[in-house]
Amino acid sequence: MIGLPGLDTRRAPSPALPLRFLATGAGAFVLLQAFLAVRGGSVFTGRYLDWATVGAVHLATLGWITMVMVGAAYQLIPVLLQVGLFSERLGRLSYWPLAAGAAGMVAGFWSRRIGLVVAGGFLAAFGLALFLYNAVQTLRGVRAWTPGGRALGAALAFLLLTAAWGVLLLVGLHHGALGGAFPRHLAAHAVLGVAGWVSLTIVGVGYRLLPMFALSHGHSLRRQGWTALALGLGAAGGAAGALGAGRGAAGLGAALVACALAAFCLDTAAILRRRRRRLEPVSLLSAAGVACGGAAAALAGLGVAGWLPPGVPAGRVVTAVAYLALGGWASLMIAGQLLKIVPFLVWLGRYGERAGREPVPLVRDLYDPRLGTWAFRLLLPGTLGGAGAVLAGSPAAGALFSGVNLAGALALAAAVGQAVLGRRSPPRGPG
Amino acid sequence: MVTEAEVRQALRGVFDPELGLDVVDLGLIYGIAVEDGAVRVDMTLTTRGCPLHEAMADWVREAVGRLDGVERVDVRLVWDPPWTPERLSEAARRELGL
Repeated sequence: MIGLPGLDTRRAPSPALPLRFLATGAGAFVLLQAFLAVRGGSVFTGRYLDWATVGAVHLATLGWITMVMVGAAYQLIPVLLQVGLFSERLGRLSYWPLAAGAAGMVAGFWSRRIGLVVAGGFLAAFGLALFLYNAVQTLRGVRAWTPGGRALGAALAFLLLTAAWGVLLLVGLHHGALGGAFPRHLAAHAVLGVAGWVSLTIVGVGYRLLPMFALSHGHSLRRQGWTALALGLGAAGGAAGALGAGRGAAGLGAALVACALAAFCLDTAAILRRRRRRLEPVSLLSAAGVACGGAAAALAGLGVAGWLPPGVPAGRVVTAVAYLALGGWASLMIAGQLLKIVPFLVWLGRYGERAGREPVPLVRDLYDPRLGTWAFRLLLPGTLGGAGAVLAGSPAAGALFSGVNLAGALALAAAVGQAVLGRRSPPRGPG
Repeated sequence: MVTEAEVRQALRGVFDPELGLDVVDLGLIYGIAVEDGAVRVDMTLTTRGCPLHEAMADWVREAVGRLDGVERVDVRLVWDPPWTPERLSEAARRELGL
């Protein structure tokens, strides 16, 4: 079957487990864009340490990106690595502390209540610990490791480090223990999370899913292992540089991340050139995400080298890099994958047993495909415009482009909602 | 007695749920052999360990098993030669927008 080659869904958990994470993440994405449209002034003026900005960042990283990636991991680790999920019950348990913790942290940041931030943070860390334990126990059963599997394993290690640094920052926030070192640890936390956990997961899964969704064959994957290695080393180097190893380490880390993203960009282009179907929103969003990742890496490299655009303060450059990395690279890639993974999981749960015995809809019948098209048409210009608004220091432009992104996020959420809630779909043939 | 053509026609009712194409147009059917009520179907998948490969083989088995005169269905997954998009039928290519 072409739909998900190399994925044995017999070992996957019931679709309800990943779906709750994916649907929650989509909701968080809508909330994020709404906030940026209405209260995003601090983001678009480059005040990246402002409470409102940090809250938005955690809504993006925990509520949207990590929530979706954890849910997808529950499905993809077993099927990509041909191993049964250690515990579906533990997976269900991990959802509540992660969701509640993320909500608490964001609410705490937005209301400037440190106690709520710390409580939410520890709760979210507990949820992630449950997920990591479940994932590691699952990985212990893997017999044959693939490059994508190794990238996922490395991503999980970076998630552990990111969460650990997050807990350290919470302690620092509560007790003031870190003193003047707080910004360095914050930077390390960000680099470990974005370059490590998020990027390694995207790359590791992307090399498998992008050809599948584009019906692409014959492309070379020899760079796959090196891309993941460069990302991992780059994330480690960048974090080390942030913690005091010096500009050399930070520069080397940024260069490695940039090289990895450039290689992934080339491979994505090769995959799409060899596609055997018309371009779908998943491929368009993925290509756009990769391009934003490249832009983020390039801007970060310029910043580390000290070659900032004239008249643009460092704070706005840092914020623009984060915006392109989180809003572009991660969000667009994830949005594209959601348009495929959610309907497939719903189809599997609702029709998998009935297919072949009675007429059932196709996967694409579960939601209106125009929603995916509109998600792409809105999210790409909204993201690029938003990044430009940050560099220009314009809250008005930022609000405008966030409005565009909000419409795109609503289109995405509507597609997810249609699939989950059951769009009326005509059955097709005997199956 | 069931014929190879009838078996092939029955297989046009087995769809890839993501692509909406049947296994014949996808080029997944490598061979059909009919002998005394027993039907053997040699088929492939686009990649080893395909997500629903057990289900796909079951669907093929059920579709062929519904035919009059079929007493036993044997579905064999083969990997040589490996599937390539060149095996797509003209109708499949049109459907995929190629």
